[in-house]
Amino acid sequence: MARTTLDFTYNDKDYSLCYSIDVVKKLDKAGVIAHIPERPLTITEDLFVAAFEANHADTSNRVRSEIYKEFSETSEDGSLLEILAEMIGEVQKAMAPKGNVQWKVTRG
Amino acid sequence: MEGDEGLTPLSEEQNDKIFSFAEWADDLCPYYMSIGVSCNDYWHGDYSQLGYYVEAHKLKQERENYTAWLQGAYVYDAIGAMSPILQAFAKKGTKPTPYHKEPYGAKHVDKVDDKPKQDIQALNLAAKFSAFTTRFNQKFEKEGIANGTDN
Repeated sequence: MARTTLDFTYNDKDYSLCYSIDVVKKLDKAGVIAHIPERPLTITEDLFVAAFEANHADTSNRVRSEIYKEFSETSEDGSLLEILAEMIGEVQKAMAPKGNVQWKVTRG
Repeated sequence: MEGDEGLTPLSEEQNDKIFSFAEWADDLCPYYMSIGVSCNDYWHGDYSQLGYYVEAHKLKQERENYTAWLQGAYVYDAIGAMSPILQAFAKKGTKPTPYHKEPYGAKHVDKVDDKPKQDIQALNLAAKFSAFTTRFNQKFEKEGIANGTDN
Protein backbone atom coordinates (compact mmCIF):
# COMPACT_ATOMS: atom_id res chain seq x y z
CA MET A 1 0.00 0.00 0.00
CA ALA A 2 1.74 3.18 -1.21
CA ARG A 3 0.54 6.45 -2.60
CA THR A 4 0.75 7.17 -6.32
CA THR A 5 3.40 9.71 -7.23
CA LEU A 6 4.26 11.60 -10.38
CA ASP A 7 8.03 11.28 -10.78
CA PHE A 8 10.27 13.17 -13.19
CA THR A 9 13.60 14.95 -13.44
CA TYR A 10 13.88 18.63 -14.34
CA ASN A 11 17.19 20.49 -14.53
CA ASP A 12 18.99 17.50 -12.94
CA LYS A 13 16.67 17.61 -9.94
CA ASP A 14 14.37 14.69 -9.10
CA TYR A 15 10.77 15.51 -8.32
CA SER A 16 8.12 13.27 -6.83
CA LEU A 17 4.72 14.92 -6.89
CA CYS A 18 1.87 13.71 -4.74
CA TYR A 19 -0.98 15.03 -2.64
CA SER A 20 -1.51 15.15 1.09
CA ILE A 21 -4.88 15.41 2.79
CA ASP A 22 -4.15 19.03 3.61
CA VAL A 23 -3.47 19.90 -0.03
CA VAL A 24 -6.63 18.15 -1.25
CA LYS A 25 -8.62 19.94 1.44
CA LYS A 26 -7.25 23.29 0.29
CA LEU A 27 -8.01 22.44 -3.35
CA ASP A 28 -11.50 21.46 -2.33
CA LYS A 29 -12.04 24.65 -0.34
CA ALA A 30 -10.79 26.74 -3.25
CA GLY A 31 -13.36 25.04 -5.47
CA VAL A 32 -10.70 23.58 -7.78
CA ILE A 33 -11.85 19.95 -7.47
CA ALA A 34 -15.46 20.86 -8.15
CA HIS A 35 -14.46 22.61 -11.35
CA ILE A 36 -12.45 19.77 -12.87
CA PRO A 37 -15.23 18.75 -15.30
CA GLU A 38 -15.95 22.38 -16.23
CA ARG A 39 -12.42 23.66 -16.83
CA PRO A 40 -10.29 20.63 -17.75
CA LEU A 41 -7.68 22.72 -19.56
CA THR A 42 -6.97 25.38 -16.93
CA ILE A 43 -7.53 23.11 -13.98
CA THR A 44 -4.66 20.79 -14.93
CA GLU A 45 -2.09 23.48 -14.18
CA ASP A 46 -3.71 24.27 -10.82
CA LEU A 47 -3.63 20.61 -9.81
CA PHE A 48 -0.09 20.21 -11.09
CA VAL A 49 1.19 23.23 -9.18
CA ALA A 50 -0.58 22.04 -6.01
CA ALA A 51 1.00 18.60 -6.28
CA PHE A 52 4.39 20.15 -5.38
CA GLU A 53 3.17 21.08 -1.90
CA ALA A 54 3.62 17.69 -0.24
CA ASN A 55 7.27 16.98 -1.15
CA HIS A 56 8.58 20.15 -2.80
CA ALA A 57 6.93 23.01 -0.99
CA ASP A 58 10.10 25.09 -1.37
CA THR A 59 9.78 25.09 -5.17
CA SER A 60 8.50 28.49 -6.28
CA ASN A 61 5.29 28.89 -8.26
CA ARG A 62 7.33 30.33 -11.14
CA VAL A 63 9.42 27.14 -11.38
CA ARG A 64 6.33 24.98 -11.03
CA SER A 65 4.66 26.80 -13.92
CA GLU A 66 7.85 26.54 -15.98
CA ILE A 67 7.95 22.80 -15.44
CA TYR A 68 4.29 22.53 -16.31
CA LYS A 69 4.82 24.33 -19.61
CA GLU A 70 7.56 21.88 -20.56
CA PHE A 71 5.72 18.89 -19.22
CA SER A 72 4.50 16.50 -21.87
CA GLU A 73 0.73 16.39 -21.71
CA THR A 74 0.42 12.66 -22.06
CA SER A 75 2.43 9.63 -21.09
CA GLU A 76 1.84 5.90 -21.41
CA ASP A 77 -0.12 6.06 -18.13
CA GLY A 78 -2.76 8.42 -19.48
CA SER A 79 -3.31 12.15 -19.69
CA LEU A 80 -1.86 14.35 -16.97
CA LEU A 81 -5.27 15.47 -15.77
CA GLU A 82 -6.46 11.87 -15.47
CA ILE A 83 -3.42 10.95 -13.38
CA LEU A 84 -3.78 13.99 -11.12
CA ALA A 85 -7.49 13.35 -10.65
CA GLU A 86 -6.74 9.70 -9.87
CA MET A 87 -4.19 10.77 -7.26
CA ILE A 88 -6.80 12.98 -5.60
CA GLY A 89 -9.35 10.18 -5.67
CA GLU A 90 -6.77 7.94 -4.03
CA VAL A 91 -6.54 10.33 -1.06
CA GLN A 92 -10.28 10.14 -0.50
CA LYS A 93 -10.24 6.35 -0.82
CA ALA A 94 -7.33 5.89 1.61
CA MET A 95 -9.00 8.10 4.21
CA ALA A 96 -12.10 5.94 4.45
CA PRO A 97 -11.69 3.83 7.58
CA LYS A 98 -13.11 0.46 6.65
CA GLY A 99 -16.40 0.03 8.42
CA ASN A 100 -15.67 2.33 11.35
CA VAL A 101 -17.19 5.57 10.18
CA GLN A 102 -20.14 6.13 7.92
CA TRP A 103 -19.17 8.48 5.10
CA LYS A 104 -20.07 9.55 1.60
CA VAL A 105 -18.50 11.72 -1.05
CA THR A 106 -20.59 14.43 -2.62
CA ARG A 107 -19.26 15.57 -5.97
CA GLY A 108 -20.22 18.96 -7.42
CA MET B 1 -11.81 38.56 -10.99
CA GLU B 2 -12.51 38.79 -14.69
CA GLY B 3 -11.61 35.78 -16.78
CA ASP B 4 -11.20 33.55 -13.73
CA GLU B 5 -14.45 31.68 -13.56
CA GLY B 6 -13.18 29.36 -10.83
CA LEU B 7 -13.18 32.11 -8.23
CA THR B 8 -16.69 33.46 -8.86
CA PRO B 9 -18.99 33.35 -5.83
CA LEU B 10 -20.92 30.11 -5.55
CA SER B 11 -24.52 29.54 -4.66
CA GLU B 12 -25.27 28.06 -1.23
CA GLU B 13 -26.13 24.68 -2.75
CA GLN B 14 -22.85 24.55 -4.68
CA ASN B 15 -20.98 25.69 -1.61
CA ASP B 16 -22.33 22.78 0.44
CA LYS B 17 -21.23 20.29 -2.18
CA ILE B 18 -17.75 21.75 -2.64
CA PHE B 19 -16.93 21.89 1.04
CA SER B 20 -17.95 18.30 1.64
CA PHE B 21 -14.42 16.88 1.33
CA ALA B 22 -12.92 19.56 3.56
CA GLU B 23 -15.54 18.95 6.23
CA TRP B 24 -15.15 15.23 5.91
CA ALA B 25 -11.38 15.54 6.32
CA ASP B 26 -11.89 17.74 9.39
CA ASP B 27 -14.37 15.25 10.87
CA LEU B 28 -12.05 12.30 10.36
CA CYS B 29 -9.00 13.99 11.88
CA PRO B 30 -10.04 13.36 15.53
CA TYR B 31 -10.82 9.72 14.71
CA TYR B 32 -7.35 9.13 13.27
CA MET B 33 -5.74 11.02 16.15
CA SER B 34 -7.58 8.74 18.56
CA ILE B 35 -5.95 5.69 16.98
CA GLY B 36 -2.44 7.12 17.12
CA VAL B 37 -1.95 9.20 13.97
CA SER B 38 -0.34 12.53 14.78
CA CYS B 39 -2.09 15.66 13.55
CA ASN B 40 0.89 16.54 11.35
CA ASP B 41 1.04 13.04 9.81
CA TYR B 42 -2.67 13.13 9.10
CA TRP B 43 -2.64 16.44 7.25
CA HIS B 44 0.81 16.42 5.68
CA GLY B 45 2.03 12.82 5.80
CA ASP B 46 1.57 9.78 3.62
CA TYR B 47 -2.17 9.09 3.59
CA SER B 48 -1.58 5.52 2.41
CA GLN B 49 -0.31 4.70 5.93
CA LEU B 50 -3.73 5.45 7.44
CA GLY B 51 -4.96 1.95 6.56
CA TYR B 52 -2.20 0.40 8.69
CA TYR B 53 -3.28 2.49 11.67
CA VAL B 54 -6.86 1.26 11.24
CA GLU B 55 -5.72 -2.38 11.04
CA ALA B 56 -3.43 -1.93 14.06
CA HIS B 57 -6.31 -0.38 15.99
CA LYS B 58 -8.53 -3.36 15.16
CA LEU B 59 -5.88 -5.80 16.41
CA LYS B 60 -5.44 -3.79 19.59
CA GLN B 61 -9.18 -3.79 20.18
CA GLU B 62 -9.33 -7.57 19.68
CA ARG B 63 -6.50 -8.08 22.18
CA GLU B 64 -8.16 -5.81 24.75
CA ASN B 65 -11.44 -7.60 24.21
CA TYR B 66 -9.80 -10.98 24.78
CA THR B 67 -8.12 -9.74 27.97
CA ALA B 68 -11.45 -8.45 29.28
CA TRP B 69 -13.10 -11.77 28.43
CA LEU B 70 -10.33 -13.69 30.19
CA GLN B 71 -10.68 -11.56 33.29
CA GLY B 72 -14.42 -12.25 33.26
CA ALA B 73 -13.75 -15.98 33.01
CA TYR B 74 -11.43 -15.87 36.06
CA VAL B 75 -13.99 -13.91 38.08
CA TYR B 76 -16.66 -16.43 37.06
CA ASP B 77 -14.44 -19.32 38.19
CA ALA B 78 -13.55 -17.57 41.45
CA ILE B 79 -17.21 -17.00 42.33
CA GLY B 80 -17.96 -20.59 41.33
CA ALA B 81 -15.24 -21.84 43.66
CA MET B 82 -16.65 -19.79 46.53
CA SER B 83 -20.28 -20.69 45.81
CA PRO B 84 -20.52 -23.63 48.29
CA ILE B 85 -19.97 -21.30 51.26
CA LEU B 86 -22.04 -18.48 49.81
CA GLN B 87 -25.26 -20.46 50.10
CA ALA B 88 -27.55 -19.30 52.89
CA PHE B 89 -28.27 -22.83 54.10
CA ALA B 90 -24.83 -24.30 53.61
CA LYS B 91 -23.92 -27.05 56.08
CA LYS B 92 -21.49 -26.26 58.84
CA GLY B 93 -17.92 -26.98 57.83
CA THR B 94 -18.53 -26.48 54.14
CA LYS B 95 -15.36 -25.34 52.42
CA PRO B 96 -14.89 -23.54 49.13
CA THR B 97 -13.62 -25.62 46.25
CA PRO B 98 -10.02 -24.81 45.40
CA TYR B 99 -9.30 -22.16 42.81
CA HIS B 100 -7.07 -22.88 39.80
CA LYS B 101 -3.49 -23.51 40.86
CA GLU B 102 -2.26 -22.16 37.52
CA PRO B 103 -3.59 -19.72 34.95
CA TYR B 104 -5.29 -21.03 31.84
CA GLY B 105 -2.87 -22.55 29.40
CA ALA B 106 0.09 -22.54 31.84
CA LYS B 107 2.88 -24.89 30.80
CA HIS B 108 4.00 -27.59 33.25
CA VAL B 109 7.64 -26.59 33.38
CA ASP B 110 8.34 -28.34 36.72
CA LYS B 111 7.60 -31.81 35.39
CA VAL B 112 9.99 -31.30 32.50
CA ASP B 113 12.71 -30.13 34.92
CA ASP B 114 12.24 -33.21 37.14
CA LYS B 115 14.09 -35.53 34.75
CA PRO B 116 17.66 -34.37 35.52
CA LYS B 117 16.82 -34.50 39.24
CA GLN B 118 15.64 -38.11 38.89
CA ASP B 119 18.81 -38.98 36.97
CA ILE B 120 20.99 -37.59 39.78
CA GLN B 121 19.02 -39.53 42.39
CA ALA B 122 19.46 -42.74 40.39
CA LEU B 123 23.21 -42.11 40.12
CA ASN B 124 23.43 -41.50 43.88
CA LEU B 125 21.63 -44.79 44.58
CA ALA B 126 23.94 -46.65 42.20
CA ALA B 127 27.02 -45.13 43.88
CA LYS B 128 25.73 -46.05 47.35
CA PHE B 129 24.99 -49.61 46.24
CA SER B 130 28.46 -49.87 44.69
CA ALA B 131 30.08 -48.63 47.93
CA PHE B 132 28.00 -51.10 49.93
CA THR B 133 29.04 -54.08 47.75
CA THR B 134 32.72 -53.03 47.95
CA ARG B 135 32.57 -52.82 51.75
CA PHE B 136 30.70 -56.13 51.93
CA ASN B 137 33.30 -57.85 49.74
CA GLN B 138 36.19 -56.39 51.79
CA LYS B 139 34.56 -57.58 55.01
CA PHE B 140 33.91 -61.03 53.51
CA GLU B 141 37.53 -61.30 52.35
CA LYS B 142 38.87 -60.31 55.83
CA GLU B 143 36.64 -62.87 57.56
CA GLY B 144 37.78 -65.57 55.09
CA ILE B 145 41.46 -64.86 55.82
CA ALA B 146 40.85 -64.94 59.58
CA ASN B 147 39.10 -68.34 59.37
CA GLY B 148 41.75 -69.79 57.03
CA THR B 149 39.28 -70.45 54.30
CA ASP B 150 40.91 -68.17 51.79
CA ASN B 151 41.34 -69.69 48.39
